[in-house]
Order: sequence, then structure tokens, then C-alpha cells
Amino acid sequence: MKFRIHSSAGVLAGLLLVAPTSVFAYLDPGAGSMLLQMLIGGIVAGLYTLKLYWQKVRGFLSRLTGGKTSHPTDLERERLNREDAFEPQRRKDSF
Amino acid sequence: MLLKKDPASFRDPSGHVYAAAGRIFRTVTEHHREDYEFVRDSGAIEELARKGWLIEATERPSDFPAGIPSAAVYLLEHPRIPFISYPYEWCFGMLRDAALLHLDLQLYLLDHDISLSDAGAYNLQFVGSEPVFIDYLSFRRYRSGELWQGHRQFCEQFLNPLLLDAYLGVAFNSWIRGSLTGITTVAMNRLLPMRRKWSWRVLAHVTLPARLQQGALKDDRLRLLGNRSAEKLPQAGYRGMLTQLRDWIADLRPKATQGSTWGHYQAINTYSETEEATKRRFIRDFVGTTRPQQLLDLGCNTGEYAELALAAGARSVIGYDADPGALAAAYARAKSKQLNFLPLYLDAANPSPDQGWDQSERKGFKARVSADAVLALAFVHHLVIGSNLPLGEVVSWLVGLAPRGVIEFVPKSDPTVQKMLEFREDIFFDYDEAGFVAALEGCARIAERKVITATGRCLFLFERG
Repeated sequence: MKFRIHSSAGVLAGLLLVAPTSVFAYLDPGAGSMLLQMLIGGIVAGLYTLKLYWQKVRGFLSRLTGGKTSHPTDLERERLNREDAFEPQRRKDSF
Repeated sequence: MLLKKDPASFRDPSGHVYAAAGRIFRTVTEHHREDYEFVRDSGAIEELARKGWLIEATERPSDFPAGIPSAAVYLLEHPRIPFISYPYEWCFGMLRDAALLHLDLQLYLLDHDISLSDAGAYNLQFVGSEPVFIDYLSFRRYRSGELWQGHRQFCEQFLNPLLLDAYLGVAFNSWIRGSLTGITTVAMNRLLPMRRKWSWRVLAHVTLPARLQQGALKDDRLRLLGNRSAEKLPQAGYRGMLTQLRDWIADLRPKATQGSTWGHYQAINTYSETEEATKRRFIRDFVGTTRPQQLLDLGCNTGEYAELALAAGARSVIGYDADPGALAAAYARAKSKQLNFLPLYLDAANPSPDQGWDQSERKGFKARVSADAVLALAFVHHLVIGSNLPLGEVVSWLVGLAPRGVIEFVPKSDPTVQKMLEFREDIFFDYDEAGFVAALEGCARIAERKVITATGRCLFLFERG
């Protein structure tokens, strides 16, 4: 995983430097998104895995200290909690 | 039963939508059979339908109605969506909630090894103020390592329009009404100021895909696309992209609502308390007597009268307004009180047209409404004086919308109209109550008239002959 993150980050930095700015309208419009995913998929996967571990550690610590436990994967509950159109619940664990 | 293929249902060879005698059917073709059976047998879709995230579907037995093509291997029936609306008619909060539902749905389905083949905003509809996903044919079996096929479409139809408003303070509606595929990532990248580009999220979903898109044909990088073995996204990466977008979008807020004209209308309107009570009583009586199935509320503002009408016996209210701030408040009201009220962004002087493929893919507003009553409160003067539309034409257009309704006439002596005329020449010679009454009597019967303010505002109850 470590190697993958490093190599992807290197490719990413390189691409940002060399990516030209001309537009090819006849190119499949999804090409950019597909290339992106091949390129940064590893980085995003790494970050996501770290995030899950971090949540587990945090949950463990808060149980030790008697605090409230959180269920970050319970998306349904979070959605039901979004009560009005102006104040969606803020999740502090975004990366 | 006469079957009619839905004109918006042509892109996907997996099946099509048909309407017959008010019922909605969806075919599944041989092409999609395997995926459909996998998804159906997973049990996930029943659970999603139970939660209200996904529209219900009942599999019909094999004796299909006449007119269903022989290529169909399954036939599903869906409950009818009471009113079809389009993303360019939604306010910021509605598009954001639809985006969040889309992401939640994908995360939930990934747990069941199901992915979505696309991510169009048109695959969601609102029932009252709740978004619901409607396209069963988007679901298919997840294959290990597959890329998120809908990423570009998700960005163009959800993320970029939301960023346009949240980061640049420009409402997305006119743009996505003009471009039904959404706002391209290349355009979004050009618009975003430099200071926004330092974030990892903007880099990952706007800047980098835009640069890659622009450069893809230039060199060998495109060969990656042809090389299937390179096409691999770890599932954690797939989930990572979905949760990253979810966290980002949940935090977005419209930048422009602060300066909105009518958002605080209720606080600044020109009625006294007793005048307000008279107006409310009139509307309550009208709705209580007529009990409309679908009430159209023109210039719905923050939805105050829509809420009143629902309490008085209206079954559903479709409202529209051209002010984003008022709509945001109306949507918040509908959502927090769970009203069967759909507030939409629409300018009466230029409503949504028939458009898309063959000019029938997306229907115009008029073709989608079948209101049995209409409310036009403090609305006519905006069209006549604000948009220079002839009074007679406005009145006959209004009467054409529903067999009965209430129209409020605001005379020139009223402070609101005086303010509208403050910096312009008064060229509205026939704009007075007598002119209004003559126009209304020309196309309907006036059943009741009531003066509601000291400045001469009047409510008229009309009935079409």
C-alpha cells in the first residue's frame, strides 16, 4: 500500500506538470474521469482505509473514556438526521 | 390498455419505461437479465424501497399487456410519481439532497456487491419534498476492481452545479437547463478561482480530471483506457471517492441566498395582522370547499400559503418561484414539516420548455401540470409591471391553468407597485382593477371578490365556464 501511494503521488505530480491544455471535443468525455481513477484510486483507497482505522481507534478511545460511541458507517441514520435544507450535519471526519 | 413509450427512455438498451392508463411499467431486456436477477435476489432493493430511497416495483407475471416488445424478459410496475420535475427546476438544497441520496444509495449497494452504471440527476425524482431514486436499470453486479463509471456524470450533473453556487454564488438552474448533460468539468475548472484549487477534493474531482481530459488524446496515456488490465480501482478507492464526495457535498451551502429579494418576504410584507388574517381565511375557505388534488401555487415564495392550503384540505401543492432564497426557505419548510409540497424554480415569463432529443425528452412545465385549482397571490403585477406582459394575456393564461382559482390584484396605489414604478415610466395604462375585472370576466366567472388591505389589494375567486 505504501509503495502504491508513493508511486501514484509521483505520477500525479508529474501529470499535473505536463498535462496540456488543448481541448479535443471528439474524445470520449469520460476519459478524464477514467484516467483519474486509475491514477489516484490507490491514494484514495489508502486514505479511506486510514480513515476507517482512525474511526475504530477513536471509537475505542471514547469507549474507554465512557464517551458516546459513534457509528460512522450508519449512513441511514445520518441521512435521517439531516433535518433542514440549510444545516446539514457536519461530519468532522472528512479527509 | 394503450401503451406509450416514455420519450425520455431510450438511452439504455437494458429496458424501457411505458405508460398505460395511468400506470407505469418498466421492461427488462435479455441484455440486462443476469444483472437484474442478481440485484433482485440480493434483497437490497426491497430494503431500499422500504427505506423510501428507491421507488417500489412489483414484478408482473409473464402475461405482459399487448404492445410490450417481445425482447422484454421481465416487466415491472412502479407507482406513478405524482409530478415529474427536473434538476434545473430544483433549488440548491434539493439538488444537494438528491446528490447525497445518490451517494448513500451507492455506498449501501456496494455492501451488496451492486454498482450503478450511471449517475444522472434525472434518475431521481421528488415525491413531495423527499428525493427518491427511480431507475432500476442502473443497478448491476459489481465486478472487483471496476472503475466508477458514473463519476464524470455525477460531477457534471451534481457536483459542478452545486460548486457553481457554493463557490461562485451563481445559481446553476439556467446553465443546466441549457445543457442537459450538466456543467463540464473542464468549464468548472476554468471558472474556479486559484485559491479554491489548493484543496485535495477540488484537485481530485475538478482540476485533475479536467487536465487529464484535455490531455488524454495528446499522448500515450489514452492507451491506458484500451488496456483493460490497467482498469482497476480497489473497492476501498471506490468507497473512498464516494465518501469524500459525500462529506464535501453535505457541507456545501449556497453562497447567494443572503442577497435574495424575497427570502425575508414574510418579515417585510406590507400587510397588517388583520389584513393577513383576512387573506388567510379567504384562501382556507376556497381550498376547504374545493379540496384540490393538485393545487398550483404561482409565486409560492416561502410556501406559507402552500402550507395553509395543505392544512385546509389540498392533497398536494406544486409551487414555483424565481427567487432562490424564497425557494430555499420553501424547501426547508416542506422538508421540516413533511409537507406534500414541491417548490420549484421557474420564471412564469419563461417556463421550462419541451427539450432534449426530438424536443420530447424533457417536457415543458405546462404539459406536466394537471392542476384542479390555482393560487396567484401578489403575482400578476410582477408579470405585468415587472415583465411588461399585457394584463389581458396574463389573466387568460392564468385562467387556462386550472378550472378555478384565487387571483390577488395589487393596484397601483399599493406601496409594492409604487416601488416597482419608482424608477420607470408608467406605461401600464390599463393596469387597474376595472381593467383586471374586464379581462377576468372575458374568460371566467367571478364567484367572489374581497378587498383585503387598506391600500386596495383584492382577492378574486374565479371559476371557468
